Amino acid sequence: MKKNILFCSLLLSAAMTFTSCSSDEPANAECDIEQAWVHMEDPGRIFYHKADTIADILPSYDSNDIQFPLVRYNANIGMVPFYVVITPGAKIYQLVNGKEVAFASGSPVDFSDDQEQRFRVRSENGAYMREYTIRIKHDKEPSISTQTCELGTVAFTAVPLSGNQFSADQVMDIDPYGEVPVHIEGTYDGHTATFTLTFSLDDEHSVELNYAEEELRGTWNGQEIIPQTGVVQVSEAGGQLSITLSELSVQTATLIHFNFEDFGFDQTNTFHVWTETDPTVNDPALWATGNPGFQLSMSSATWDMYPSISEEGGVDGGRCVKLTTRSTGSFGAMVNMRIAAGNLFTGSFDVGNALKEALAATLMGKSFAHKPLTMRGYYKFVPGSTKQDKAGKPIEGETDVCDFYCVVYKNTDANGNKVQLDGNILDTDKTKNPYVDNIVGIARVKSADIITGAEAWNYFELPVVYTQELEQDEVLGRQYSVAVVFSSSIDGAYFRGAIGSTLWIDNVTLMCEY
Amino acid sequence: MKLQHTILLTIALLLSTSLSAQEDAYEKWGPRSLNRSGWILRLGYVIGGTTPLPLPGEIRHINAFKPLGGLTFGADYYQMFSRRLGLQAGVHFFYEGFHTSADVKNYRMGIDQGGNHLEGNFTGTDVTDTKMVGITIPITCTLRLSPRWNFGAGPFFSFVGNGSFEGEVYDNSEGIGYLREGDPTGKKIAITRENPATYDFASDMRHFYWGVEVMFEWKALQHMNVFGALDWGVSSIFPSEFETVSFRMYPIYAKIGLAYRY
Repeated sequence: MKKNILFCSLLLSAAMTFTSCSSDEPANAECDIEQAWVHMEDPGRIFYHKADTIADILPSYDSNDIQFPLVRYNANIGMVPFYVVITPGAKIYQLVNGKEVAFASGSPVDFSDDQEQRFRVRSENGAYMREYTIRIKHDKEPSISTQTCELGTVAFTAVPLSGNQFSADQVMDIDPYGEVPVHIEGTYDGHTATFTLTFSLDDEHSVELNYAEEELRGTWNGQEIIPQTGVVQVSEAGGQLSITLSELSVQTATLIHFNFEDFGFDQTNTFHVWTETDPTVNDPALWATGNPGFQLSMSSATWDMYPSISEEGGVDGGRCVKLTTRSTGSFGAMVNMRIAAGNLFTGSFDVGNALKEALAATLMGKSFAHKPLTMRGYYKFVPGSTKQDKAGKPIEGETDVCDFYCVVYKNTDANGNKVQLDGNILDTDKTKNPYVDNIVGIARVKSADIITGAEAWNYFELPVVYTQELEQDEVLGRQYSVAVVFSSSIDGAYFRGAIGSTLWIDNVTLMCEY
Repeated sequence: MKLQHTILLTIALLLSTSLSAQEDAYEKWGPRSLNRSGWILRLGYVIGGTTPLPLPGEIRHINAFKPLGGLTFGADYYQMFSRRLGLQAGVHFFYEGFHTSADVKNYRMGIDQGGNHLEGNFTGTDVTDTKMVGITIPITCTLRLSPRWNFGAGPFFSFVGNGSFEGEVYDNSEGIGYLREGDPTGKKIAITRENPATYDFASDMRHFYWGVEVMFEWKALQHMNVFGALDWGVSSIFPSEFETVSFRMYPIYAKIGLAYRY
């Protein structure tokens, strides 16, 4: 009897083991700053957007650098109340001269002069800690790239063409662009000479030529003339035309050069990441790739097996970007993401979303203070042999093709909230891309125009087609984001493409208005 | 879960009442001779699974557990040494399966696929299905407490021919599901039920484990026994060098069935 009861209780206790909740909840092991923001009376004067007082923290980001969006170049920041939300139970300390000082959210922190402030978060269970560097950086002063050149007096010999026409050519030395050919062409009717000046500034530097009427002063065969919108009164045909452009205002394009020479390795020292050194962009972390997502599925891969790598053999002999569509192996198949197209884009990659919702992981576009007019550069493309669908089955009769584009979009909604487009950027379906209407300009290569072959570099130049005018103030105030995107498979975002498709990219230039 | 409690409690109560009620004699139920030996053929149902013991704090809540079918059949040879004492040994085929769903927090886990490894600390829901097919060799000392009641205990050794330990992880009912890659300071990777991460540790399972069995037999008829047993594994189903499942997983199974005895 007693044994029987013993047995029954044994059986019961076994059952209890399965059903009962376990012992006390273990203390939290995480030690994250989950959110961070500063409080300001008038954030719009300090930051470009009101919402910029909240730091950009991707939960997935294992970097311990917390960045706030740039503040205006002339913003005056001193001690500001700094708020954090950290992992429940964790403790946060400010590091002052290397020593931990308990920090209470909302306490003032000195963010003046772009200085770094360091914080340490210790987990509730005491086993882990993270050390964060936080700062608020000033943007550089926005500039409209208008160059003013002292020209002095330029003498032309007008050559009669036929009838009453005349023309003249002259090379002017316009600082800082070197020699600039100027062509003058006009007609003379015996009393009035009408002429036009054409400055062919080189392509790299000019988009427009402006000068004020009153700045035009000239002589015709030694006789002073007062031009009226390019109309000069002269007494006889032929002879010496001398024009003084006391000040010539040339509005130049802002050229942003991406030469992709500067690369390094990620935090885990596994795959390539690019550092942008173009001084105009002022954002070293401009470029992102899907490499961190690939790493999740192919931990055994070495750097050269990644979808996005830096390679020698660039168009000018330096390095270039090589994007390859890769298989993600059995891991990728497990989560129904069988390929990873090589990609490179301005923005960031939220690896935390890579398994959950891949398109949401590629955060495309970063705020820009420039308006791109054309995107040009060099590429080579070789398609992989078999294009496959999401299930990994071959798609008959379809050849893979690469894709590259530049999208300009307004980075706030009607309420002033931040808008960040993701991998759905070119989707016109509003359920997937709710802010599709924020897009104001697109430049995109046509698939039919892609030349295949790995031997020679191909030049491309794509105009950005705008659907609306942009206000200069808004552009300079970083109200627009620019997504420059390269992908080795056009449908790579949807996990359709051919393994082995390879796109090389080099020397890309964004020619921008201001 | 409440239901399982109730069922087990009812079984226990029934057993104890039936025990106290019966007044039958050795003359009727035997053994007829003190050193009798013979065979017992068994057919039964198996319920159970593998569990860490004690349940670690990382497992916050068991959402569901249910058997995925279970069957055992086999034969034992028994030898009585006295009226009360005896020994049994046999070979039992078994098929047992179990499904568990648990909410876990900071639960060490890893996924191996084709030479690639993703490991970290998972918080969310973990669903596991285990199945084992094999044979068990129990060696049981029996003690006859009354003419109809026989109890036994002894070691058992199991050889698993075909085992599976597979499952998936995703977000829990509150929508929380993420892996901290490497350790709790690593990348926080969201995992949801729309796109769960699956794992399969079948190839890491041991093919041999052993444990202790306690059992009872009740003579329902002259040649027909009702039996029940609890197999409590004391070796983990994973080898100690398998670190992905950071705690030892013990197989624990209850069997109930009928035995023909001659």
